[in-house]
Amino acid sequence: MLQPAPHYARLAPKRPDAISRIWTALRIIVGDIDIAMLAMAAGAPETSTADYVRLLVRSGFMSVSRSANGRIGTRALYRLTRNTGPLPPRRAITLMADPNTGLTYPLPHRTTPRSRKRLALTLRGEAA
Amino acid sequence: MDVPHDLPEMPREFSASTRLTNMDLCLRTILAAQGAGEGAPRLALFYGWSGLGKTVAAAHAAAVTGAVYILATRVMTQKSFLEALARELGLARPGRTSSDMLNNVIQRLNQNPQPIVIDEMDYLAKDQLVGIIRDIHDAANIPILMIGEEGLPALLKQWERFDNRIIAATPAQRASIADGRILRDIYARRVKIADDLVDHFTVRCKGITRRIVVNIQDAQSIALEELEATNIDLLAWGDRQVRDGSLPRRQA
Repeated sequence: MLQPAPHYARLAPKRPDAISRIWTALRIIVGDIDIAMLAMAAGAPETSTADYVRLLVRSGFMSVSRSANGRIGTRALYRLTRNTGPLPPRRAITLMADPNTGLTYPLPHRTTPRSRKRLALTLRGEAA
Repeated sequence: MDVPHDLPEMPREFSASTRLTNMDLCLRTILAAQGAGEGAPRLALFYGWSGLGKTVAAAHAAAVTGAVYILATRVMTQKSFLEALARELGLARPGRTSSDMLNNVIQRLNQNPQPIVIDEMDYLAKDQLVGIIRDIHDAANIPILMIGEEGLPALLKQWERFDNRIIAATPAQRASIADGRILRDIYARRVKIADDLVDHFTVRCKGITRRIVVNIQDAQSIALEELEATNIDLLAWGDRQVRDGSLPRRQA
Protein backbone atom coordinates (compact mmCIF):
# COMPACT_ATOMS: atom_id res chain seq x y z
CA MET A 1 0.00 0.00 0.00
CA LEU A 2 1.34 3.40 -0.92
CA GLN A 3 1.85 5.45 2.19
CA PRO A 4 1.00 9.08 1.51
CA ALA A 5 4.15 11.11 2.14
CA PRO A 6 3.74 14.33 4.15
CA HIS A 7 3.81 16.48 1.01
CA TYR A 8 1.29 14.23 -0.70
CA ALA A 9 -1.59 16.47 0.27
CA ARG A 10 0.21 19.46 -1.17
CA LEU A 11 0.81 17.73 -4.48
CA ALA A 12 -2.67 16.30 -4.79
CA PRO A 13 -4.83 19.10 -3.46
CA LYS A 14 -8.25 17.94 -4.42
CA ARG A 15 -9.67 15.28 -6.66
CA PRO A 16 -11.47 16.99 -9.56
CA ASP A 17 -15.24 16.45 -9.71
CA ALA A 18 -16.86 14.21 -12.32
CA ILE A 19 -17.63 17.06 -14.75
CA SER A 20 -14.02 18.26 -14.70
CA ARG A 21 -12.77 14.73 -15.22
CA ILE A 22 -15.09 14.14 -18.19
CA TRP A 23 -14.13 17.47 -19.77
CA THR A 24 -10.40 16.81 -19.30
CA ALA A 25 -10.70 13.33 -20.78
CA LEU A 26 -12.69 14.68 -23.74
CA ARG A 27 -10.09 17.31 -24.51
CA ILE A 28 -7.30 14.76 -24.47
CA ILE A 29 -9.04 12.13 -26.58
CA VAL A 30 -9.24 13.95 -29.88
CA GLY A 31 -11.55 12.24 -32.32
CA ASP A 32 -14.56 10.04 -31.88
CA ILE A 33 -15.45 8.43 -28.61
CA ASP A 34 -18.44 6.59 -27.22
CA ILE A 35 -19.96 7.16 -23.81
CA ALA A 36 -18.73 3.89 -22.27
CA MET A 37 -15.07 4.50 -23.03
CA LEU A 38 -15.31 8.15 -22.05
CA ALA A 39 -16.87 7.20 -18.72
CA MET A 40 -14.10 4.73 -18.02
CA ALA A 41 -11.40 7.21 -19.03
CA ALA A 42 -12.92 9.88 -16.80
CA GLY A 43 -13.52 7.49 -13.93
CA ALA A 44 -17.12 8.71 -13.87
CA PRO A 45 -20.45 6.84 -13.85
CA GLU A 46 -21.85 6.16 -17.31
CA THR A 47 -25.14 7.92 -16.54
CA SER A 48 -23.53 11.20 -15.47
CA THR A 49 -21.19 11.01 -18.46
CA ALA A 50 -24.15 10.57 -20.81
CA ASP A 51 -26.01 13.48 -19.16
CA TYR A 52 -23.04 15.82 -19.48
CA VAL A 53 -22.35 14.78 -23.09
CA ARG A 54 -25.98 15.48 -23.97
CA LEU A 55 -25.68 18.98 -22.50
CA LEU A 56 -22.49 19.56 -24.49
CA VAL A 57 -24.13 18.36 -27.70
CA ARG A 58 -27.18 20.55 -27.14
CA SER A 59 -25.04 23.60 -26.49
CA GLY A 60 -22.82 22.99 -29.50
CA PHE A 61 -19.62 21.99 -27.72
CA MET A 62 -19.81 18.47 -29.13
CA SER A 63 -21.23 16.86 -32.20
CA VAL A 64 -22.54 13.39 -32.93
CA SER A 65 -20.22 11.80 -35.48
CA ARG A 66 -22.19 8.61 -35.80
CA SER A 67 -25.64 8.16 -34.42
CA ALA A 68 -26.57 4.70 -33.17
CA ASN A 69 -29.92 5.16 -34.99
CA GLY A 70 -31.49 2.50 -32.85
CA ARG A 71 -29.33 -0.25 -34.30
CA ILE A 72 -28.67 -2.93 -31.73
CA GLY A 73 -25.11 -3.33 -30.60
CA THR A 74 -23.81 -0.08 -32.06
CA ARG A 75 -23.01 2.91 -29.95
CA ALA A 76 -23.19 6.53 -30.94
CA LEU A 77 -19.86 8.29 -31.37
CA TYR A 78 -19.26 11.84 -30.28
CA ARG A 79 -16.50 14.35 -30.70
CA LEU A 80 -15.53 17.60 -29.05
CA THR A 81 -15.83 20.45 -31.52
CA ARG A 82 -15.41 23.50 -29.30
CA ASN A 83 -12.38 23.01 -27.12
CA THR A 84 -12.22 26.32 -25.32
CA GLY A 85 -9.87 25.62 -22.44
CA PRO A 86 -9.16 23.68 -19.28
CA LEU A 87 -12.26 24.59 -17.27
CA PRO A 88 -15.42 22.58 -18.00
CA PRO A 89 -18.51 24.44 -19.25
CA ARG A 90 -21.29 24.10 -16.73
CA ARG A 91 -25.01 24.51 -16.99
CA ALA A 92 -26.17 27.75 -15.46
CA ILE A 93 -29.79 28.63 -14.88
CA THR A 94 -29.88 32.33 -15.58
CA LEU A 95 -33.43 33.00 -16.69
CA MET A 96 -36.89 33.02 -15.18
CA ALA A 97 -39.58 32.48 -17.79
CA ASP A 98 -43.11 33.86 -17.38
CA PRO A 99 -45.53 31.63 -19.33
CA ASN A 100 -48.28 34.28 -19.02
CA THR A 101 -46.48 36.89 -21.01
CA GLY A 102 -43.79 34.86 -22.74
CA LEU A 103 -41.22 37.18 -21.21
CA THR A 104 -38.01 36.08 -19.54
CA TYR A 105 -36.30 37.79 -16.66
CA PRO A 106 -32.66 37.47 -15.66
CA LEU A 107 -32.03 35.33 -12.62
CA PRO A 108 -28.79 36.37 -10.98
CA HIS A 109 -26.87 33.97 -8.78
CA ARG A 110 -28.08 33.89 -5.21
CA THR A 111 -26.16 36.36 -3.12
CA THR A 112 -26.95 34.99 0.30
CA PRO A 113 -25.44 31.65 1.19
CA ARG A 114 -27.79 28.71 0.92
CA SER A 115 -26.88 27.59 4.39
CA ARG A 116 -27.78 30.84 6.17
CA LYS A 117 -30.71 29.34 7.99
CA ARG A 118 -28.72 26.32 9.09
CA LEU A 119 -25.89 28.60 10.17
CA ALA A 120 -28.25 30.68 12.29
CA LEU A 121 -29.62 27.57 13.94
CA THR A 122 -26.13 26.32 14.70
CA LEU A 123 -25.15 29.68 16.15
CA ARG A 124 -28.18 29.63 18.43
CA GLY A 125 -27.09 26.19 19.59
CA GLU A 126 -30.04 24.35 18.06
CA ALA A 127 -29.69 21.18 16.03
CA ALA A 128 -29.37 21.85 12.32
CA MET B 1 3.91 -9.95 -19.95
CA ASP B 2 6.52 -7.92 -18.17
CA VAL B 3 4.36 -5.72 -16.00
CA PRO B 4 6.71 -3.67 -13.84
CA HIS B 5 6.49 -4.76 -10.24
CA ASP B 6 8.14 -1.75 -8.67
CA LEU B 7 5.12 0.53 -9.08
CA PRO B 8 3.23 1.30 -5.88
CA GLU B 9 -0.19 -0.23 -5.47
CA MET B 10 -3.24 1.81 -6.31
CA PRO B 11 -4.22 3.99 -3.34
CA ARG B 12 -7.62 3.22 -1.91
CA GLU B 13 -9.25 6.42 -3.19
CA PHE B 14 -8.70 5.24 -6.77
CA SER B 15 -9.03 1.50 -6.39
CA ALA B 16 -12.80 1.20 -6.73
CA SER B 17 -13.22 2.10 -10.40
CA THR B 18 -12.90 -0.27 -13.33
CA ARG B 19 -10.00 0.47 -15.61
CA LEU B 20 -8.02 -1.23 -18.34
CA THR B 21 -4.43 -2.37 -17.76
CA ASN B 22 -2.84 0.64 -19.45
CA MET B 23 -5.04 3.11 -17.61
CA ASP B 24 -4.01 1.42 -14.38
CA LEU B 25 -0.30 1.41 -15.24
CA CYS B 26 -0.33 5.01 -16.41
CA LEU B 27 -2.12 6.23 -13.29
CA ARG B 28 0.18 4.27 -11.00
CA THR B 29 3.19 5.72 -12.81
CA ILE B 30 2.09 9.28 -12.16
CA LEU B 31 1.17 8.41 -8.57
CA ALA B 32 4.63 6.91 -8.10
CA ALA B 33 6.12 10.25 -9.14
CA GLN B 34 3.69 12.10 -6.91
CA GLY B 35 4.41 9.90 -3.92
CA ALA B 36 8.22 10.15 -4.18
CA GLY B 37 9.87 11.63 -1.09
CA GLU B 38 10.34 15.35 -0.52
CA GLY B 39 13.05 16.67 -2.80
CA ALA B 40 13.18 13.44 -4.80
CA PRO B 41 12.91 13.71 -8.60
CA ARG B 42 9.44 13.28 -10.05
CA LEU B 43 9.91 12.65 -13.76
CA ALA B 44 8.13 9.57 -15.09
CA LEU B 45 7.72 7.85 -18.46
CA PHE B 46 4.93 5.82 -20.00
CA TYR B 47 5.84 4.48 -23.41
CA GLY B 48 4.97 1.91 -26.03
CA TRP B 49 3.98 1.16 -29.61
CA SER B 50 1.11 3.11 -31.08
CA GLY B 51 -2.34 1.56 -30.91
CA LEU B 52 -2.01 0.37 -27.33
CA GLY B 53 -4.27 3.12 -26.02
CA LYS B 54 -1.61 5.31 -24.46
CA THR B 55 -3.58 8.48 -25.04
CA VAL B 56 -6.75 7.12 -23.45
CA ALA B 57 -4.59 5.96 -20.55
CA ALA B 58 -3.10 9.46 -20.35
CA ALA B 59 -6.58 10.96 -20.41
CA HIS B 60 -7.52 8.78 -17.47
CA ALA B 61 -4.41 9.60 -15.46
CA ALA B 62 -4.72 13.33 -16.16
CA ALA B 63 -8.47 13.45 -15.48
CA VAL B 64 -8.41 11.71 -12.13
CA THR B 65 -5.29 13.43 -10.82
CA GLY B 66 -6.28 16.88 -12.10
CA ALA B 67 -3.15 17.11 -14.22
CA VAL B 68 -2.36 19.59 -16.94
CA TYR B 69 -2.12 17.89 -20.33
CA ILE B 70 0.13 19.11 -23.14
CA LEU B 71 0.12 17.49 -26.56
CA ALA B 72 3.55 18.08 -28.04
CA THR B 73 3.89 18.73 -31.74
CA ARG B 74 6.71 18.50 -34.21
CA VAL B 75 6.91 22.28 -34.56
CA MET B 76 6.93 23.08 -30.87
CA THR B 77 9.54 25.56 -29.66
CA GLN B 78 10.41 26.58 -26.11
CA LYS B 79 8.09 29.50 -26.47
CA SER B 80 5.13 27.64 -27.89
CA PHE B 81 5.55 24.95 -25.24
CA LEU B 82 5.42 27.59 -22.51
CA GLU B 83 2.41 29.21 -24.18
CA ALA B 84 0.57 25.91 -24.23
CA LEU B 85 1.45 25.24 -20.60
CA ALA B 86 0.34 28.73 -19.52
CA ARG B 87 -2.94 28.31 -21.37
CA GLU B 88 -3.61 24.93 -19.80
CA LEU B 89 -2.83 26.30 -16.35
CA GLY B 90 -5.39 29.00 -17.02
CA LEU B 91 -2.95 31.90 -16.60
CA ALA B 92 -4.74 35.13 -17.46
CA ARG B 93 -1.52 37.06 -18.13
CA PRO B 94 1.12 34.54 -19.13
CA GLY B 95 3.68 37.18 -20.03
CA ARG B 96 5.23 38.18 -23.29
CA THR B 97 8.72 36.73 -23.34
CA SER B 98 9.73 33.14 -22.72
CA SER B 99 11.39 33.98 -19.42
CA ASP B 100 8.32 35.88 -18.19
CA MET B 101 6.18 32.91 -19.06
CA LEU B 102 8.55 30.48 -17.39
CA ASN B 103 8.48 32.54 -14.19
CA ASN B 104 4.70 32.81 -14.22
CA VAL B 105 4.25 29.11 -14.90
CA ILE B 106 6.58 28.18 -12.04
CA GLN B 107 4.90 30.66 -9.72
CA ARG B 108 1.48 29.22 -10.49
CA LEU B 109 2.70 25.65 -10.02
CA ASN B 110 4.18 26.53 -6.66
CA GLN B 111 0.95 28.17 -5.50
CA ASN B 112 -1.30 25.54 -6.93
CA PRO B 113 0.62 22.35 -7.71
CA GLN B 114 -0.73 20.21 -10.54
CA PRO B 115 1.01 17.28 -12.22
CA ILE B 116 1.91 17.76 -15.89
CA VAL B 117 1.33 15.12 -18.55
CA ILE B 118 3.22 15.61 -21.83
CA ASP B 119 2.04 13.41 -24.70
CA GLU B 120 4.11 12.72 -27.84
CA MET B 121 7.24 13.58 -25.86
CA ASP B 122 9.34 12.22 -28.74
CA TYR B 123 8.86 15.55 -30.51
CA LEU B 124 10.41 17.43 -27.58
CA ALA B 125 13.64 15.44 -27.47
CA LYS B 126 15.71 18.54 -28.19
CA ASP B 127 18.24 20.31 -25.93
CA GLN B 128 16.16 23.40 -25.36
CA LEU B 129 12.89 21.66 -24.55
CA VAL B 130 14.38 18.95 -22.38
CA GLY B 131 16.18 21.74 -20.53
CA ILE B 132 13.05 23.74 -19.90
CA ILE B 133 11.09 20.70 -18.70
CA ARG B 134 13.91 20.00 -16.25
CA ASP B 135 13.86 23.62 -15.08
CA ILE B 136 10.11 23.50 -14.44
CA HIS B 137 10.43 20.18 -12.65
CA ASP B 138 13.28 21.39 -10.43
CA ALA B 139 11.70 24.71 -9.58
CA ALA B 140 8.16 23.52 -8.93
CA ASN B 141 8.84 19.98 -7.68
CA ILE B 142 5.74 18.63 -9.41
CA PRO B 143 5.33 15.23 -11.06
CA ILE B 144 5.81 15.29 -14.83
CA LEU B 145 4.65 12.26 -16.80
CA MET B 146 5.99 12.00 -20.34
CA ILE B 147 4.31 9.72 -22.85
CA GLY B 148 5.89 8.54 -26.05
CA GLU B 149 6.79 5.82 -28.47
CA GLU B 150 8.67 2.63 -27.70
CA GLY B 151 12.05 4.29 -28.21
CA LEU B 152 11.47 7.19 -25.81
CA PRO B 153 13.57 5.94 -22.85
CA ALA B 154 16.55 5.35 -25.14
CA LEU B 155 16.03 8.72 -26.79
CA LEU B 156 16.18 10.56 -23.45
CA LYS B 157 19.38 8.76 -22.35
CA GLN B 158 21.45 11.38 -24.16
CA TRP B 159 20.56 14.02 -21.54
CA GLU B 160 22.16 12.49 -18.49
CA ARG B 161 21.00 15.07 -15.98
CA PHE B 162 17.45 14.67 -17.27
CA ASP B 163 17.56 10.89 -17.42
CA ASN B 164 18.79 10.78 -13.78
CA ARG B 165 15.57 12.37 -12.64
CA ILE B 166 13.29 9.71 -14.12
CA ILE B 167 12.00 7.64 -11.23
CA ALA B 168 9.53 5.42 -13.05
CA ALA B 169 9.43 4.21 -16.65
CA THR B 170 6.49 1.97 -17.48
CA PRO B 171 5.94 0.22 -20.81
CA ALA B 172 2.36 0.14 -22.11
CA GLN B 173 0.92 -3.36 -22.44
CA ARG B 174 -1.32 -5.09 -24.95
CA ALA B 175 -4.89 -5.51 -23.75
CA SER B 176 -5.01 -8.56 -21.50
CA ILE B 177 -7.63 -11.32 -21.34
CA ALA B 178 -9.07 -9.50 -18.31
CA ASP B 179 -9.24 -6.25 -20.31
CA GLY B 180 -11.18 -8.05 -23.05
CA ARG B 181 -13.72 -9.19 -20.48
CA ILE B 182 -14.06 -5.70 -19.01
CA LEU B 183 -14.77 -4.43 -22.52
CA ARG B 184 -17.31 -7.22 -23.02
CA ASP B 185 -19.12 -6.23 -19.82
CA ILE B 186 -19.27 -2.61 -20.97
CA TYR B 187 -20.11 -3.04 -24.64
CA ALA B 188 -22.31 -6.12 -24.73
CA ARG B 189 -25.23 -5.29 -22.52
CA ARG B 190 -27.92 -7.00 -24.58
CA VAL B 191 -26.21 -10.31 -25.21
CA LYS B 192 -24.12 -12.65 -23.08
CA ILE B 193 -20.85 -13.19 -24.91
CA ALA B 194 -19.05 -16.22 -23.52
CA ASP B 195 -15.52 -15.90 -22.13
CA ASP B 196 -14.08 -18.19 -24.82
CA LEU B 197 -15.31 -15.91 -27.61
CA VAL B 198 -14.07 -12.69 -25.97
CA ASP B 199 -10.69 -14.29 -25.30
CA HIS B 200 -10.56 -15.38 -28.95
CA PHE B 201 -11.11 -11.74 -30.00
CA THR B 202 -8.47 -10.47 -27.58
CA VAL B 203 -5.87 -12.90 -28.88
CA ARG B 204 -6.72 -12.44 -32.55
CA CYS B 205 -6.74 -8.64 -32.29
CA LYS B 206 -3.32 -8.79 -30.62
CA GLY B 207 -4.54 -6.80 -27.68
CA ILE B 208 -5.57 -3.71 -29.64
CA THR B 209 -8.47 -2.32 -27.60
CA ARG B 210 -10.31 -0.59 -30.44
CA ARG B 211 -10.44 -3.76 -32.54
CA ILE B 212 -11.65 -5.88 -29.62
CA VAL B 213 -14.53 -3.43 -29.14
CA VAL B 214 -15.48 -3.65 -32.82
CA ASN B 215 -15.67 -7.44 -32.65
CA ILE B 216 -17.64 -7.44 -29.40
CA GLN B 217 -20.20 -5.16 -31.02
CA ASP B 218 -20.25 -7.37 -34.13
CA ALA B 219 -20.83 -10.45 -31.99
CA GLN B 220 -23.70 -8.71 -30.25
CA SER B 221 -25.46 -7.82 -33.49
CA ILE B 222 -24.81 -11.25 -34.99
CA ALA B 223 -26.33 -12.92 -31.93
CA LEU B 224 -29.42 -10.74 -31.99
CA GLU B 225 -30.00 -10.45 -35.71
CA GLU B 226 -28.69 -13.66 -37.27
CA LEU B 227 -28.87 -16.21 -34.46
CA GLU B 228 -31.79 -14.58 -32.69
CA ALA B 229 -30.25 -15.58 -29.40
CA THR B 230 -29.28 -13.68 -26.27
CA ASN B 231 -25.99 -15.46 -25.85
CA ILE B 232 -23.12 -16.34 -28.12
CA ASP B 233 -19.96 -18.37 -27.64
CA LEU B 234 -17.03 -19.50 -29.76
CA LEU B 235 -19.02 -22.46 -31.10
CA ALA B 236 -21.91 -20.25 -32.23
CA TRP B 237 -19.46 -17.74 -33.73
CA GLY B 238 -18.09 -20.58 -35.85
CA ASP B 239 -15.62 -19.65 -38.56
CA ARG B 240 -16.75 -16.06 -38.98
CA GLN B 241 -13.88 -13.66 -39.63
CA VAL B 242 -12.52 -11.74 -36.67
CA ARG B 243 -11.94 -8.14 -37.71
CA ASP B 244 -8.32 -7.97 -36.62
CA GLY B 245 -7.12 -5.23 -38.94
CA SER B 246 -5.48 -7.54 -41.46
CA LEU B 247 -6.31 -6.95 -45.08
CA PRO B 248 -9.31 -8.89 -46.32
CA ARG B 249 -8.34 -12.13 -48.01
CA ARG B 250 -9.45 -12.76 -51.58
CA GLN B 251 -12.30 -15.23 -51.75
CA ALA B 252 -11.19 -18.32 -53.67
